[in-house]
This record gives sequence, structure tokens and C-alpha cells, in this order.
Amino acid sequence: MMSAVSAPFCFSRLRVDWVSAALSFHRKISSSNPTIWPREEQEVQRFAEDRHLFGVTQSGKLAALCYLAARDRAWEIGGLVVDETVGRLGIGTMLIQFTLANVLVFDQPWAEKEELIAYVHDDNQAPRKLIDNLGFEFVGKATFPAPPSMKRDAAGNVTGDKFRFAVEGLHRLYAWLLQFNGTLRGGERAVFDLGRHSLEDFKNALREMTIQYPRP
Amino acid sequence: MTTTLAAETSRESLLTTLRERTASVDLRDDKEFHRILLEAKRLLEISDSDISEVFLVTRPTVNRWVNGKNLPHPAMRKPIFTWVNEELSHKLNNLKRGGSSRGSGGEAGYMGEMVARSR
Repeated sequence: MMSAVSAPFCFSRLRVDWVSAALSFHRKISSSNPTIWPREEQEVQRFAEDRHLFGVTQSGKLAALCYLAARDRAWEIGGLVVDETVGRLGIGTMLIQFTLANVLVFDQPWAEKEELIAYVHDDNQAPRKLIDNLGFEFVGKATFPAPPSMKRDAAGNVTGDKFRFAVEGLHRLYAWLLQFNGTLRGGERAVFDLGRHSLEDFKNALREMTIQYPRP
Repeated sequence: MTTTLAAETSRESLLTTLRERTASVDLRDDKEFHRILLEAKRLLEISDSDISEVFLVTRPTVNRWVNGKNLPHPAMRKPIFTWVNEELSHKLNNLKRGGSSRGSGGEAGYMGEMVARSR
């Protein structure tokens, strides 16, 4: 008797044809969580057109999502949402690692004195451990005018913490990629859509970067 | 007729020269990466979007490469040069067969073929 093998979780940059699913997925979570910045349809569309929308899919269904917003000499990773039915598999962590690796090897932000950053709402505790484990460091407080669906102060602003991806994070990222064996925490299969590049290319690039940026 | 033949010969020569450069390029030479990318775009008549489709990177990323900023890490460049080399060979073969250098389906057809070949 053949055993049922579930389809792998595929990590990739999502194409434009995922916009509708990505928007529903994002809204489902942001509408019930006032600490997540709600993105408009045009923004999600633009992220996808620019291939700045990173996702995890399984059998044609989204399991996790995040985006990359490049502005003001900084690359912001944000909007991480994971389907609750696949929680605790480490998908969110791996998606951020996949995104970080992509930016570091294809855009070399540090060579241009650009930062990789993330913002976390004061009342959002969920991603803090993940951010710390990945090697982001606290930079300072940040305040922005925010949409009404978010938890805001009397002036209509949200306050949160700004984090910056640090050299220590690069070393952890490389260590993770070296030991990646094609599975998630629970043994589920995970594949990366890397186009014409290979995992070895990524490992070589990150290895050289760890030499270029040694641990302080 | 003579002018067309001369133009084709000159084009063939440019394609061949660029193909040779992609085969022996120093991956750490940022300026050469930038120059080859610009020439490949011109000779292959491809856009930033075409390149981003092939390498699954963002359009702004390719745009920065083209502008000489935020270049890919040297360890990531070999597959890019290999692809350019393959596309130049494909175009040269088309030229030598006397067909359209853009393939049988016009511009859209060529792009479709190109992305399909890259998969």
C-alpha cells in the first residue's frame, strides 16, 4: 500500500497572479489584528509586480506571506502572516530567512550602505522572538500616522520598535542554510524556487559575505 | 542588399564577441558585469522585466544592476553569464540559419521562447 505523501511547501517570490489570494490572505489576518499594518490592494499589486511579495504555497494554496518594501536606503521586511493551520512548523521563520537571503545575495544592500529593517508594533509580541533569533538588533522607537483599523494613540499614530538586521544575523543565516535539509521543523518537505540559481550559489555568496563581514 | 548583409555580419560579430566575453569573464569584475549586462540587453533586445522573469528577482533589482548599483554578489553571477551566453548562441544560430533573430513568433514569441528556455 502506498503511503500518502503531502505536497512540499514551496518558498518563492509570488507572481502577479497571486495578488488576489495574497490580498485575501493578508486581510484575513490584518482585519482581526490591530497591530498589523493593513495593505491596500494597489500596494499588494505593486509588491507582486516588483516581485517583492514572498510567499509559501502548498498545493496551490498560500500558507505564509511577507513583503519587501525598498525605500530611503532601507529594505523593510514586513507583513509576515502565516496560516494558523500550519503554525509551529517554522514556516514564518524560514520565509523571512528565504527573503533575507534573496535580498543579501541579489541586491547586496550593505555594499551600498543600505539597511535591512523591520518594524514591530508596541503591542505585537508575536514576532519579537523570531526577530531576535534571526539576528535583528533594536535600533529605537518609531512613530507613524496609521490607518484607523490599527491600535493607535489619540493623535492617530502607532508606535513601535525599529529593528535592523545585523552582522550576527548574516552568520546565523549562513549557518541555517548550511544545515538546511529540505524539511521543516516537523519533517514536512520544503523547496525553494530559485530559478536558474542553485542553493549552492546562495551558500557560496553568503559564505563569502560572512568573511567580508566578520562577527564583531 | 549589400548594406543588409554588412549589417548582419556586423551584428553577428558583436554577438560573437559578447558571447566570448561572457565565457571568460572575471566574476568579481563589477564594471565588466555591468557592461556585459548593458550590451546583452541591447543585442538581445530584452527588458529589465524579461531578466527579472528569468532569474525570479525583482524588476527594481534588475534596474539597479543596469544602473550599476546594488550588483548581485559575484557568487551569483555565473548563472547570469551562462544564460546570456546561451541566449547569444541561440540568437547567433538563428542569424546563421538566415531566419529572424527574434525567433519565429515575433517579439512576444521570442520573449516567450526565452523565458521557456530558462525554465
